[in-house]
Amino acid sequence: MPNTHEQPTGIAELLPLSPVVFFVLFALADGEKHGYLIMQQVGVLSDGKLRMGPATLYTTIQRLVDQLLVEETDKDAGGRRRYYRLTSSGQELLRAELDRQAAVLRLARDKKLMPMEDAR
Amino acid sequence: MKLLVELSCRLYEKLISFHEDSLQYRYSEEMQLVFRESLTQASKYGFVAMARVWADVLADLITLLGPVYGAKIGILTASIACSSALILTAALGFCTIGPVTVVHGYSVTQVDTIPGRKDRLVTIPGDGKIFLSCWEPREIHGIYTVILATGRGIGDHTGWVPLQTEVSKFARVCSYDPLGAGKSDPKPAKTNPEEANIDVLVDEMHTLFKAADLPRPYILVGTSAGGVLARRYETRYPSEVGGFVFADSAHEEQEWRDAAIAPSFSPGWNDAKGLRDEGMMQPGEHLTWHDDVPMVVLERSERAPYEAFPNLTHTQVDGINDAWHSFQVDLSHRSKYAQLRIVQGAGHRMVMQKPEAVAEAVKEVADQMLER
Repeated sequence: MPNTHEQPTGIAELLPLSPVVFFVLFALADGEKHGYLIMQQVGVLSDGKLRMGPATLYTTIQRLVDQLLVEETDKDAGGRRRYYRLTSSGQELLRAELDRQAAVLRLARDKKLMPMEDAR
Repeated sequence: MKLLVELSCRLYEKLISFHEDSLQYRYSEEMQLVFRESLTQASKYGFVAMARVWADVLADLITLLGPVYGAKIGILTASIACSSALILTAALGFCTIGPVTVVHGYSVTQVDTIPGRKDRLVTIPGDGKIFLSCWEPREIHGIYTVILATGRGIGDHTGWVPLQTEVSKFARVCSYDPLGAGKSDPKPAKTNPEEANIDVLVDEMHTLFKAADLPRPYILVGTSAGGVLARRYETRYPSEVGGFVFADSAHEEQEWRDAAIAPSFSPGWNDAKGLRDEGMMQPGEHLTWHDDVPMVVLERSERAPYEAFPNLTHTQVDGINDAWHSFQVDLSHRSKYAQLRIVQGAGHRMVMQKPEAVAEAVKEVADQMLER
């Protein structure tokens, strides 16, 4: 199905996402997490192929927070650990990136570059 | 393995200072936490897994700092090349640099007092073992102990190493890991001592110092929220404390005062239990604590940068910074002997950044205390 939903202003300019940004957003897609959990989830989602140290992780988080794509939650506010979640713009951006990737896959399938089952 | 993790964490803490200021300011504690967790997890799978964690950290450094330091190295190489050429021509007699040709020999001064370090695990009946690290110079003047208060504001004893090294040149100085942190036993109920009720921590400290038979009076050094912890200790055990050094200390009224400036900065300002656990004042309440003992209040010179708080307006960040200064001024009125001092070049992580300045304040408090 073609991408039909309207992208908020600015979202399109952020595409395509770098692997680190994509996987951090992806890791947060199913709920709020603290830094270490995000890092672990990125490992799982990328099948261990994407590794990063704490500085890369927090540089990315810092940028995403500044761009209002990710926000800190109130959970555990007293401790040293902070939790992060996607904002609605963050969710939009992730969906736009997934749509973009799906479109590439469809194209590859149409051009018979990929077997059907891989493209699903 | 545990030692390796500890050493690595200490090294990592140092490495963080190479990263950008705003990253350090906002996330250094969390980065350390993530590093510690990654390494602890990796240590279960052996050295190769641990090496992989380090490889990620090094890759971080190269990726993030490569471009910045690359430029600096370029300038450095050029200046070294220029100065080498000048020195060479001068040495060969083709030209003279400056009016005199006397070469002064110099030597590196070795610190004479190599501190005696004694690490031990002190058993607290019913609670577990607490790690205590006491360092002392060859000669001790006066009977007292400098206590680097942990449990609030600083993760474990390793955060105190630079300061402890300085203070141990003139005094017996002890740091420790509260239950649930560093080398101490885990806490049965809660694992993170930073989240424990402040009175529970104070009791734990008191039992530890007594069990270890540390000579009194104590000079309590607290940084950040550790200042609140030190004051609470004195409230509960006033006869044991002979002096204070507060290194960019938090203030008991800061939650509700900061919330009045920027509610999002201080989200827990009206959480009664949270405030009680932290030793903070309830909204509208004022600190009444006062103790006429030698006291130095050290304040950072560096204000929190605007970019550290992207959700606040510049006016709000200014307000938070001004409030922080007013807290330090207020603390300096909490003893008739108290002095307020700004530590140039220091941020909130003053005890790591300027350990000499903090040690100097400890020395002053100790001298005044012994004179009394």
